[in-house]
Amino acid sequence: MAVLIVRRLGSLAVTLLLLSVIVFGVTQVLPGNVAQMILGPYSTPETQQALEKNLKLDEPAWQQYRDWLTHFVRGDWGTSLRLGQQIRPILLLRLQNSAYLALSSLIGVVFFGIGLGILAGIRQNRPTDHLIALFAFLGISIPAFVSGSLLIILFGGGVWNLLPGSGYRSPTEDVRGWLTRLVLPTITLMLLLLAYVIRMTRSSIIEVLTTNYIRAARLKGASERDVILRHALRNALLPTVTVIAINIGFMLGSVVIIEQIFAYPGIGSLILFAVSNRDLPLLQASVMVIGIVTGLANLVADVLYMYLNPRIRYR
Amino acid sequence: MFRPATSAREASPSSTPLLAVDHLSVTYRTRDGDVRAVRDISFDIQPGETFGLVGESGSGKSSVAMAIMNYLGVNGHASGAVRYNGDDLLTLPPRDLRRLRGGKVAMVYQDPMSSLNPAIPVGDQIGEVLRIHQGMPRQAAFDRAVTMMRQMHIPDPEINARRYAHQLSGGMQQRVVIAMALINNPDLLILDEPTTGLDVTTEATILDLVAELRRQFGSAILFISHDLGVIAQISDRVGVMYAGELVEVGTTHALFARPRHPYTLALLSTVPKLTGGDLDQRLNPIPGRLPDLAHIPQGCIFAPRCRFVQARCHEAQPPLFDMDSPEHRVACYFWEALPLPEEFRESGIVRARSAGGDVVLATQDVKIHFQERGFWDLVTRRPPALVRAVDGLSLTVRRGETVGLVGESGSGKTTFGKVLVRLYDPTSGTITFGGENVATMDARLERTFRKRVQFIFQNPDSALNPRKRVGEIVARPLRLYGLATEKEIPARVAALLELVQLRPEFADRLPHELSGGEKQRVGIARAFAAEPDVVVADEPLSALDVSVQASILNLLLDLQRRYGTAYVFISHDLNTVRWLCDRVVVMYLGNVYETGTVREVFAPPYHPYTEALLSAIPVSDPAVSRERIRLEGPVPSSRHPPSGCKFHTRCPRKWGAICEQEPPPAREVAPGHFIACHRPLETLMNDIFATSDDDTVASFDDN
Amino acid sequence: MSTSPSGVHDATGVSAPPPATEGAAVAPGMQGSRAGRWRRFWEDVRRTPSASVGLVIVAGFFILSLIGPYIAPHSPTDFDIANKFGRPTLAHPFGTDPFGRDVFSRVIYGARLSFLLAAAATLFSLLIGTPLGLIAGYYQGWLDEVLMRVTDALLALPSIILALLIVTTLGSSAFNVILVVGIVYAPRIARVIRSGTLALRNEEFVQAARARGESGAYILFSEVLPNTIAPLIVEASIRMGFAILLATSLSFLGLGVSPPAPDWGLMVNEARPHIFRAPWLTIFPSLVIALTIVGFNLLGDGLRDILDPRRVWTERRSEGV
Repeated sequence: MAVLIVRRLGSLAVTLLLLSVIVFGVTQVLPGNVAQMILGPYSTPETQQALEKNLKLDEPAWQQYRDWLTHFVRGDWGTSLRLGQQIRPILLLRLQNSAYLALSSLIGVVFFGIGLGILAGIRQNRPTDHLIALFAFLGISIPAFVSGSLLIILFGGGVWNLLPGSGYRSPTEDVRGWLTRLVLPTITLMLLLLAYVIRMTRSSIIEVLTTNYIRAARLKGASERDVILRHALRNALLPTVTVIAINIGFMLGSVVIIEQIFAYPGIGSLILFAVSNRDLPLLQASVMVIGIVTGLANLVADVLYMYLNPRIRYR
Repeated sequence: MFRPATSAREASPSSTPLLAVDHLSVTYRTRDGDVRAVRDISFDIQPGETFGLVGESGSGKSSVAMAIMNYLGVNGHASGAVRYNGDDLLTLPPRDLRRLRGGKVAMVYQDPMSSLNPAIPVGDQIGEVLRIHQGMPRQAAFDRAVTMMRQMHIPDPEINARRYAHQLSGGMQQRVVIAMALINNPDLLILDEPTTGLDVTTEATILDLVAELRRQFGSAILFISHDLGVIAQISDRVGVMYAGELVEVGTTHALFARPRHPYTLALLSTVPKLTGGDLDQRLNPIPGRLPDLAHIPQGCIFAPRCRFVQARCHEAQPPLFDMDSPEHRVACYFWEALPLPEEFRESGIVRARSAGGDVVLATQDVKIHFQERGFWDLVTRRPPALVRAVDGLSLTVRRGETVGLVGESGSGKTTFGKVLVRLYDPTSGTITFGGENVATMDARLERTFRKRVQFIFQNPDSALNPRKRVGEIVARPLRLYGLATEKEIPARVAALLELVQLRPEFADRLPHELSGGEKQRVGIARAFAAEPDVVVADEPLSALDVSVQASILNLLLDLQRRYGTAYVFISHDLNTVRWLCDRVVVMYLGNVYETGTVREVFAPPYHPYTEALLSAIPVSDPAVSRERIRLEGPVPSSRHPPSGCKFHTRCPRKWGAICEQEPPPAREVAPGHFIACHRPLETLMNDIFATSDDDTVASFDDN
Repeated sequence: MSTSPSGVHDATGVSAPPPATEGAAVAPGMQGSRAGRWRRFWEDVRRTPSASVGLVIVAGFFILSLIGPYIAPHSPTDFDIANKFGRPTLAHPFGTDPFGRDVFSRVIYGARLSFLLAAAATLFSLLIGTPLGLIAGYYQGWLDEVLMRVTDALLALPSIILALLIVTTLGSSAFNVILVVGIVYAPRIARVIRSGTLALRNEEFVQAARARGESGAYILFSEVLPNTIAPLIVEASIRMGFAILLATSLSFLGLGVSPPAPDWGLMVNEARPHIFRAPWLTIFPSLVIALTIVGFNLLGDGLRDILDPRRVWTERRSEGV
């Protein structure tokens, strides 16, 4: 298994390296005069040249890439063009804010997702199952900006004025304000991800319940409770582990939209800021950070999967 | 053999049965209507008795087992009664049912791997039975499981009990499942195709185990199988099922000696025999196919396929008639008039054994090694794992002859077959076709080669593209090799279908509309469309029912006689090989250990491996007994093959240290008959067929 | 991957397989003709609730996108400032926006735009993803390795982030939305097709073709591709839904279609400042977006149930057992 983990680490490195090429490459093929694009149509040639020099746009592409990558790996993520500040502190702070959001919904997703998934799976084709399936279905299909907007209308003041519909408070200053402002975005994010976990858990439970070893367990005389708890769950929850990890990546994507709806200062709104302002260094760094977090989440999930699956653990 | 002396119970059927299946019917609801998989069957099992239930796929035998366990699933429904010690299992409350299941009535399944939970150590799975039924604490149950595994002859039970299913070999997995079934001392053990999918050598050891345990534990056994040989070997009484009905039931001896139902009779004569029988006689296939169980025709269910059918058979379903005794019952109006098995065989010889014409295809010292080396092995510079699938094989195939390639799974026979048609290239060695080295052929010659050497696949379900119509499939070689103009193609396709005894309208069908046998015929038609010189057939029968196998074998023989095609016939089934082939190559772990004509290989002197294979095969004649030679353990991995003679780790006749050190020389014991063994020849002369049937031996000397 | 759409495969543990269907007879005339197969398929669609409901929604959406401009009561772009922020009335069922435009008409016009964007993007991603998946899956080797590493890298980013990255390069416009969504989903489709091809590659009928000496192109397009059609259809249906989701999300972020186009996502975006004053501006386009995506997902799900070999489950469900 150690070999497998090392192997997995290696492929993560390859993936991230390729990702860095893509991230850097995409920003290189900007059409037209980059500096003008960034500075706008009214900039002077002098300022454009200065910026080109600053961005080292006069050097060959591979050299720019090499410099950028070595700096990035060393922790020097450059300076934001628009904010004029070091990128790293801003980015890490925003990442932390997003992490609050992600973690709180992750906890909810794991708890409700697995619970409802199991319930739907063992009550297959009964009303409970259909109800949960419908709920999961809507969650998968409705875009975050739709459910988020509707939630704001419902609870943020349109119908009931229960919770603040937008904004952010630091937990060190105003715990209550922090928590209340976390509720709606968390629910929106949960709605989005719950569906996948429920569906995966449900279909995995159903699949496991049709296996011959479950038949063998039942024909051993095991009670239905034992069949589910002892025999089915161990095998059925394995794929769910992977789905949850994939969701972490998916979550980091959805925050772009959710943070926009709720005016929440996380990494998503930072990316959006970078995109709208063509702040290339900021965009490159934040996309790389998202890629790394996603990659690590998948890595953890894979290792966990290997560890929990005896077929891989004892090969 | 190892059957215990016929039990006294046979004489006194009046004692209370342990299990009484009483007018049992099983129906499944499907979208095409209600499938009446089992209809009105009754039989008893006495305490300690072994009752064999035999039938082909679709006979309903597994549904009977599931009905006894009252486990038919959401769309299945059973009616009638299944009385176990007086309780009707079909109406028992769930709580009482659970107490019986696994406790007093236990089951062993086909495909042991899938019956074991992949996430729980096997020892715990065995022990769980005791925890459920006796409330035993975990550790005590585990310890009992270890003891039980030892009784199952599982090596190192303390270690293996802590392992997971995937870490054990197929034979060991089945022993674990049997241990799980027996640990609570059940009164009734149901074995549903417990050896299907296992190698013959493993099958033999499992059957030995069952026989041994029966004596030891005294459980009654319901043994379900499609294999008449296995059933003959293990049962006291036998029931024969066809299309959901019990058509004949009787003691094993009576039933095999004097089968009274046309279906039993036909079934017995479809299988080529390992001993005796006229080798050059045609087999008796059962014509037609299983009726649609959603629309049962009136009258006798077997009537449409019966060769003794009369008007009356179509009118009403025959009841089970008592024959000489109430012990032997048969559902046929004309049971008294039926012939005996010997008289039933189709007469007329088919052919003389071929010595073959010119050499068409030859291989010289072919080695096929697979390197398992991924990207990361390159980076980490790990030496690649080498799989020696075939390790030096020389073979000549002559025009018009059939060469059989036999061996257990892992012997490399299928890989070699695929190299013969150039699906892979050999690692070293040469293949010549018509004297021309295949590796250096130009495009035009290669095309000729591909046309002249065709392949028939093992699995008819996967061999035909599910999206293509039969006509298109059969026409493809004609188009590809330019053998017919577009205008001629419909007629040629019709002719090819007729050649394999399919009606021309099959051309418009899609593969999923055909039965297994029909699909295999289409596969054969596709091969013969190319007008080949050599056809390599890889286990073409293994996915088919025995009654269908016979017709495919007859067909292959007819085609060979007509076109002079040479066959390379890859099979694990020695019965069939003996019947069909002219020469045999016995493979083990990628090496050839014996080769010669059928007559030579199937008679002493044997290579110890050949001897073990022959001894392992179940014979569908309870009167035949053979010496028991058993191979222990699984076939070693071809990643790390044993040194010297690769067979030495399992060889029951190991000669000495030399076997571990040097590969055995191939000695020519007769012209063309080679045995690769260190043993002196005279020590290999033992004849395992110590039969009670005298003409068996004679038949070898006949021609 | 479905290789035989109506073969009853191992019916798994809970219920013993109806044995008669295994090697046995097929009811004569039941499946022989092409028409018969279609009838059977149609029957399947009708008895699978998700497929039939999805089909109805998708068909409604499609018809609306065809005839929308002819039935819309008002122009989608003409201002009527006097009538701004009108509550829903009979004349304006979905109300009016800050410029007095009729939201109902804008939603109706938006159907065509959304359909065209999603269909073009899906087609684009299928056109790129399918051949790549086929080739990678069939030929394996370094080509496969390179392709899979690149898709790995692309898939390491959530689709919306990847889309943003590309939008930064290409700029935002309706045409670019098609490109962006197409590029984002192409690797996902390539993955699906590749894994299907990988499974088919070892099927004996593909081996048979190789042993016959067929060309790679024949094997790929004549033997392999027809067997990937069923999963492709399922994939296309689900991708259509996701394409609408991604395209409207981009518009919502102000990075997709530019105003004053009647794009649904854009409408929700423009309604944001007025979310409490005129909630109908948010509510109606939101519901239409949700309904459309639900429709495509339901259809895709239903089709998967029908076309998937493990359809036994569907049968049970539809029979209400």
